[in-house]
Amino acid sequence: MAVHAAFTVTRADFALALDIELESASVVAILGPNGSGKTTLLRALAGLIPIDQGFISINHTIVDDAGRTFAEASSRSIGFVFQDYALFPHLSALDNIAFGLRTHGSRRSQARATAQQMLDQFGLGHLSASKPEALSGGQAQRVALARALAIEPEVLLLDEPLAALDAQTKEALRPELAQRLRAFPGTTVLVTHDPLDALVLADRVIVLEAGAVVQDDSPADLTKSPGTDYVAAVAGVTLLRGTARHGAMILSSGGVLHISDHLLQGPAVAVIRPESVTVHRFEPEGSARNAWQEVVSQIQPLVDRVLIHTQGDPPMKAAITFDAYDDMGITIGSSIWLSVKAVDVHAYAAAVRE
Amino acid sequence: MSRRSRFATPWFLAVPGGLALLLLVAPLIALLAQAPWGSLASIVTSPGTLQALRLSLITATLATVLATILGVPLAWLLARSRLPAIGLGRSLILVPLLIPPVVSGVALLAAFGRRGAVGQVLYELWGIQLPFTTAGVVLAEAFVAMPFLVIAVESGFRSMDARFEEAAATLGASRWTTFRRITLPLIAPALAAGVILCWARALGEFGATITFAGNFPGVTQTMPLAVYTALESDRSTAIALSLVLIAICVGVLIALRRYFLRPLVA
Repeated sequence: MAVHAAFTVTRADFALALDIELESASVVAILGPNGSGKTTLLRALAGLIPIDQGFISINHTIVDDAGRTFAEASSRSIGFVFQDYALFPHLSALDNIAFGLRTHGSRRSQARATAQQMLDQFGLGHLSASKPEALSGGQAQRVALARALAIEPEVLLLDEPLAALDAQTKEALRPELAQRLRAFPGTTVLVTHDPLDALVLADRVIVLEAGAVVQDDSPADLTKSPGTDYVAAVAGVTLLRGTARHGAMILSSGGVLHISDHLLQGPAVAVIRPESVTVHRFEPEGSARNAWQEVVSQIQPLVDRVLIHTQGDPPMKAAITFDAYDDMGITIGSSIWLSVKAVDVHAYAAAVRE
Repeated sequence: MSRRSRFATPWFLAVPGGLALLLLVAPLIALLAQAPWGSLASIVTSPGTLQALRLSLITATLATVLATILGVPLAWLLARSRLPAIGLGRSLILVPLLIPPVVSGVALLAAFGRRGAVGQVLYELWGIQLPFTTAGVVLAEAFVAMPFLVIAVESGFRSMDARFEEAAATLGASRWTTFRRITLPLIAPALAAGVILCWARALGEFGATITFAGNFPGVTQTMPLAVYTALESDRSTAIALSLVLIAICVGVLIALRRYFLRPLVA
């Protein structure tokens, strides 16, 4: 494995204890609510905080053993993308990227040339002289990623990489980020509280709650068999696979799903948040492009809503309020209609690794 | 009550406030009114004035350099170190700021005089004497002015977001590279304010200088000492020299107002 982290970090009001091994060429999402310890995990891997017990190794080299050995962040082969990017405000986009190349021994002219190439690759070549304050959120996110990747780290760490962006930019950037993470040859660890990020970007999801790992699964298994209430709530997301063509996906589970992206072709993954699914007693008439008649297979009360699982083509999950649930008189075995607008379907090219 | 009177300035603030402004401005206006405008040019360009002016500019600048080299690291310690003694250190640097400068001069004599704790060692080992020398002027000015720099720079370190330093570390930068290329540029406004405050205080230093370094023309007689000396014999020369000092301070303030005002006001 590329990274082995078996450690505890103890604070006055909090303890993080885990033992995880992460493969190279994999994207691992650390999913958890606020205060679950996911950022602490990331900072310990980076060397920004020391661990209290145990060890962390990167490519078979111990970087922290809670005693004699502690490799400073500057000597670990890591790239870190901070939550609000932490671009150096006094340096241009180009110099932000060139900074790490310079500290890794590149000559000034070489560092600047490489940084310009990175900016070009990220479609930001024209912004090389811009200061961070002049960049939009999406541009800053790309510069931060380019800065972390420029030093060719073995481990890429991302702290809520999309959380600082508005909803629209987030949707636009998520597929691009997925593509770049797939192209990265090392180990990627991304921390997020958004199940959509975890399911779309990662090929393994580790769920942290109150400082402990509660589930460690592929995205598909996570949504099929959630282990705790938190996972059930976040994994209420429906994950569908299939083949996209001209704005529709032929689903492997049966059925057809209309999507808003008409350019997406070939193997694809679609995720639908349970709140985006509307439940009807009779066949709906409206603008929603997707409507299916299904049978209720499971009713799962959560803290503030009810998650309805249904069987049909495709199997779905829908979240409704307790009031709506009471009014509709749904029971297991009821026949109901579900509808989803195509714009509420998040479809991406499937994560196929060479 | 009409709307207008509610927003009018109340008399119990307007009257003392106006008096305060008068107190600050009136002496300066009086100085301008009594200035010997006719002979100003000849007084200012006389060899004695130029000598004192040159000595003042050199010693104030050297004192500021000394205070910066030592004071910036001290400010960093005060802002970032978790040593328990730091709280005490933060209080101690305020002492030179608060005690009368003449007391500072006596204290400097006790430490660096020929029979002082440090001065004796310096003299016996290397034959170095600080009292009544130009180096002594620099030391006295640095002693009095450095706290201004330390306080300004410390607040700069405190308000700086530590994530930029973390980001530099994850990009492979050593502590020194991070300090030089990230930390210092980011606290530049606070550092500039500190340097200017320190320099202006050093330029105006009187009490500690005359006590510790004496009043020898060409060696330790800086502009403020020259003003004091002139006042005993020739009032108009004292006024002319005062105007030079005011002009320098106002000039620096105007030239660097961008750096000077922003961090202090914000």
